[in-house]
Amino acid sequence: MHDFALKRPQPGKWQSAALAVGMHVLLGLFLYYSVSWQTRKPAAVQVELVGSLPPVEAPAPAPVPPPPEPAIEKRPEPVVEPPPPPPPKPDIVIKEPAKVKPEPKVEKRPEPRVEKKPEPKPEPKVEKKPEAKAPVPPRPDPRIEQALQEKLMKESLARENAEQMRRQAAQEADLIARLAADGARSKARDSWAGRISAKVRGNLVLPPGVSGQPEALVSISLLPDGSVVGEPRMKRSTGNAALDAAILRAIVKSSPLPKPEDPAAFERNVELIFRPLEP
Amino acid sequence: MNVTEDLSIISLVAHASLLVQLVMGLLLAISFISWYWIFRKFFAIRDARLRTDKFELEFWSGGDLNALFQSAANDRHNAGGMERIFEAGYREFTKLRARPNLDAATIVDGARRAMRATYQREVDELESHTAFLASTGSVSPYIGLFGTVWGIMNAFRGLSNVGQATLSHVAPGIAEALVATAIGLFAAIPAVVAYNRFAHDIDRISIRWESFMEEFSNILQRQTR
Repeated sequence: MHDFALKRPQPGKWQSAALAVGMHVLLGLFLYYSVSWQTRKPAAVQVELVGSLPPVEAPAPAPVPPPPEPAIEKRPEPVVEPPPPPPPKPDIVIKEPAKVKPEPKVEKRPEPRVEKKPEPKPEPKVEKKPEAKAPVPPRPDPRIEQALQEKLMKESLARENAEQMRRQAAQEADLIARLAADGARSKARDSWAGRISAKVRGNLVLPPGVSGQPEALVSISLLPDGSVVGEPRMKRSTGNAALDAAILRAIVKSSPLPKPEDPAAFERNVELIFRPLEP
Repeated sequence: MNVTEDLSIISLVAHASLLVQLVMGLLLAISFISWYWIFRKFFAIRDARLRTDKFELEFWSGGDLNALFQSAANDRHNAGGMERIFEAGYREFTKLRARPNLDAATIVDGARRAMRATYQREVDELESHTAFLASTGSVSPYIGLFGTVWGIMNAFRGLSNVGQATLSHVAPGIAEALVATAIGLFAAIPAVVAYNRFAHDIDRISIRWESFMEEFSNILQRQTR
């Protein structure tokens, strides 16, 4: 009876081994083809941040351009615009070439018709057409000619006007889009400046005897993380040396300054109009 | 640890530290053995159930017990569990009945003891190696976790040499280390599922065998009179 335990059916011994191997081969293939992460992008960002650190003093001239830039961008467009409107006036000068253009058309029209039609069609029609068009070539009636020319002039004028309108509309749309973008950027800048001011104000120790509405223009160099590089410079003093020093101290103390909500609005050199007594 | 490299599974495993690689190897071996036994037990339990079905059908179709016994005894190496229980009980029953001066209760008790012994042997055979699945399910996540913790410790230690610490310095190391946990879970989850399934199936089969023993004892008791 004891040999019962020794020999018994062992179903699927080799099948099991094969299936187990198969499972792991499947797992291996799955992992091999699905696990391939790339870490390049974070590395690229990293390089940029580190790369922009060293040149701290160079950007000093830069602060001046940013504020004027929007102004320059906005102004040129109005200046560019006027040229398109004037065309109506110079039109008078242009009219002559405009006239020349339509005229060939008038000449061409009768000619081809006269030449072509005779071939496929009997003569009578050829005779008729010249008669119908006769008034134009001889130009006996100055009134008709004038009317025609006026008409052509008007047409060309209308065409030119339409073109100008289109150009103008496109320019306006472009301008509006640019203005909107500028507006968004300046809005972001404003709110950013507001937050910087708020933080600096919190660290400001007012010297005694400050009153009225003192206003200072301070130039600050920033790192991308908001920390202040070097010493902030007073571009326009409040008139009170103690207050100026207090403001500069407060800015240094507030480092790192808040970052803009929109990272695109960040600038390395910020010119801040700071009103210490504003709430 | 080059930051710009691509993380394929092979580079992940190749760059892991030696201990983590050992843990991964151990887990792969455990996973292989556990899958082997999952399939073995699956086939064995299915086979036991089919043979039980077949024998129950033969037994209750009203055939001659002697003929049934003969066929079971001749083919004992290829018999199912229930057939062996029947064979053991009937063999003991015929032996005891040949002895003089034994009352019916003693004969049936002897047969039942023989059947119970065979039953326990058969159930033990069915249950063998399921304990391995259970311990694989409970332990291999911890082994994987150990490898992961070790790998992450190394990753952070490497971080101390870098001046500016960023995520991309640690990330590859952590990813390498986490592969160990992944392999541990891959071994553990099927083992737990299979263990629960097999325990349930074995319970059902053993209940069928036990009730067969009781019914067969009744039949033997009727035959002693």
